[in-house]
Amino acid sequence: MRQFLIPLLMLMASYSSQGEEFLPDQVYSEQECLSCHQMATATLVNDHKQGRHASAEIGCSDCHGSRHNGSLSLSRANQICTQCHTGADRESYETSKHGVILKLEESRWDLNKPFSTSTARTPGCGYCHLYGGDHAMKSREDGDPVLCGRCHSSRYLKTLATSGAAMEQIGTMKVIEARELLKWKGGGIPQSERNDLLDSLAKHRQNLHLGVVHQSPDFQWWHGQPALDGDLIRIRSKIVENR
Amino acid sequence: MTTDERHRDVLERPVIERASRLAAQLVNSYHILKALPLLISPTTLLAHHTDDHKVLMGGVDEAVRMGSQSGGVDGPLAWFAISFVAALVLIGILRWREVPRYVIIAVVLVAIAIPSGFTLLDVSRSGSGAGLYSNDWTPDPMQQYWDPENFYIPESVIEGRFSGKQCIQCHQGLTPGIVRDWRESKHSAPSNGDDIVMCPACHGDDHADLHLPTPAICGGCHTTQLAQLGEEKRYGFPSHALAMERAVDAKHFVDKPKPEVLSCLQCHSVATKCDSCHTRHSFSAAEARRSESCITCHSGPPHPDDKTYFASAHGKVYSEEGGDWDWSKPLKKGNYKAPTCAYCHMEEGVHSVAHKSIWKFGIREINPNTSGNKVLRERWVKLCMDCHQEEESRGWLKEMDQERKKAWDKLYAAEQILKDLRSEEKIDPPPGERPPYPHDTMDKLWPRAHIGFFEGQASAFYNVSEIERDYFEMWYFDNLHGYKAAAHGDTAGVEEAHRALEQDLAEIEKSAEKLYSTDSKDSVARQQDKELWNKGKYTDYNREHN
Repeated sequence: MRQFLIPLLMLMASYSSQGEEFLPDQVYSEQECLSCHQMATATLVNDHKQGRHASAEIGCSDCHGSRHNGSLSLSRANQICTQCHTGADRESYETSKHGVILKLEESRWDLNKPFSTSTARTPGCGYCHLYGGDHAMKSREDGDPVLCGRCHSSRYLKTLATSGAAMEQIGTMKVIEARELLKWKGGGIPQSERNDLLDSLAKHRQNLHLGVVHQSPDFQWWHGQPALDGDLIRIRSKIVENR
Repeated sequence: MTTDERHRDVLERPVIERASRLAAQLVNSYHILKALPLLISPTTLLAHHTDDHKVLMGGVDEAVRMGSQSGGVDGPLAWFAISFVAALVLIGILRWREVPRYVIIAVVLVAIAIPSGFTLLDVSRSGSGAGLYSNDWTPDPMQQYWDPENFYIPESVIEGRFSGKQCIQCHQGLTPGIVRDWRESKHSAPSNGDDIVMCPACHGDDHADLHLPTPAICGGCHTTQLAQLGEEKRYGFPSHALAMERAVDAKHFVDKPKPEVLSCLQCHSVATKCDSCHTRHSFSAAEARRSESCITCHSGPPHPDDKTYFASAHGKVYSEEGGDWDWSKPLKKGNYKAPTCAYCHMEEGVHSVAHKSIWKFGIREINPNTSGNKVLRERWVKLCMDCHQEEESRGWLKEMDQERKKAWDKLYAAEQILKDLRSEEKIDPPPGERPPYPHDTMDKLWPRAHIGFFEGQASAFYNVSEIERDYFEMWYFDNLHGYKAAAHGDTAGVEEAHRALEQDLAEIEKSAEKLYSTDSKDSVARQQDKELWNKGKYTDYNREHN
């Protein structure tokens, strides 16, 4: 009986715009979430299924909690994302100006509003990665005018994106140089050491990327570019050593 | 030569090295230079073309900058006029015929040297970039937003003059975020009955010729803060006020492709914009009082201020309780239970973070016993006494000095190993067989490894051999971690950093032994290595693009 009742109530809820408090305040299972939302919010569920969260077995309750009341505002709080996205993902955001302002002011913001009408002063994770409720979390262009244009001018955004791409391109050149060195001259380097060098290279390139997209100068620079310079020096040294 | 022999203590260094260090410190002294403008012109020449004289370099940089800052007189012509008139007056007083010829020659030379020094300075600053090497680089388009005074180009899409109300009418639809920020700011509702500060006050009213606010524009009203920022320059670098000009004068900034070193400017723009700390468009003082507002720049390996502060007792109290404190109060004794970054470094809101800088950010050894340093120390003791006993405060400063001594002993030990390797020509690849040291004319004629602060260590992180890079990381990352941990009261951090420093030193010793035991290469191997170090996608690109 409950199997049918809940979808019915949910449909009524969506028409009567009574929102998320419509359902009894109790714990719901993943199955129960899906059984309603496959109908009520089919696009969201389908998007989620195609996205990377679903393939990592992240379900509704991981971000929305297992109760219906407050499930939306809960999922919009930044710490929901940062509980899993630790390390460079989190640090590069938290040291950016957006991240700093969010840390200081988030408790005063109304998280009941969707991102598109939000009055938050800076974007948190969800604002950019799930704008418009995009549960597939398709990657966006850096400096998207719709998202960023509420505060920044179009020329600023365009310049920032172009320069950011050029900055990343330089990182890519360093990676290409390193890989070519290893490919043509690094034959003598033991496999485990080669792997370490490649891991370090990949990590620093990713830091640079995160620094650019999250606007963290520290990740662009100290964890990125000069770290890649160091990788190039160490690769060359290893080549000479193992010749 | 054994490792022990190479580890000579600082005091046992050759006399010549101690003398050169002393000379560098002398030249570096602001007061001496201000009293001797004469020194400026020859050192200006030095700064441009003999960069390898790094023993003088710290001083040369100071000299050139002091020259450009010694206020009031503008341009080489004015300087020439002053020198010439002074010379005439002098000769007039002494009467022409009674003046020995060598005095006349000296006076004429001075009259020529000073204006030519300043002319050279003006020419060097007149290029497409900024700073001493402005002729050697062209800015990335994004630089206009980090250094608006030098590079901002207004966009003339919309023409006409608009009032503040008209600006808001359009922009609350176009860029509602910033209008809302402004509405919540003190600019929109001044508490002291002042006029509302609307858009044109900072951006101008001509839409085709808008400007981005610089400290000078903000300082039109916030005069005290602007004056304090200007005053900070006298403490030299590191400081907020000199951050941008030092960044663009760094050798690696000039040398590397501009989109790469754009990263530097975001933090170094603290000298050229006020919104690094008072973010737009709410420009809140309360926000800048919080420790988080500093961490965008004060984080990461060379300045882990965030990590060390938040690990300290002060940081823990702040993290735990700070969210509930009233941040509208000024940073004064009794207003806060624990200090934030700004409470100590900008006490009572003074906009000069360097006014108590006793260890110069940890990147160079200082003498803690000079009278100048003692003045700075007394400022710290007075500040700590807001909450702590005087003896306790002095004790912490002593602890920090001890930490620094230990760190510098290790750094000098490593530096000596590298300098010995350099004299024995054991650095591999040797300078001259790898890409030249960043943007250095002398380096092309006389390739030389750059070791230690006065030789330009801060740019020695690429185009160098592995052992030099290892020393760069030791000097810049682990050393500064130790310093920051000691300064912020993070005892575990001090231990961690010193363990790392010992490990670094051991690694450098090991690598040096290896280099000493390596036989010299035949010409085929040398050619092979030269190709290895000089070619590559990025290395080639960097050679052509700056």
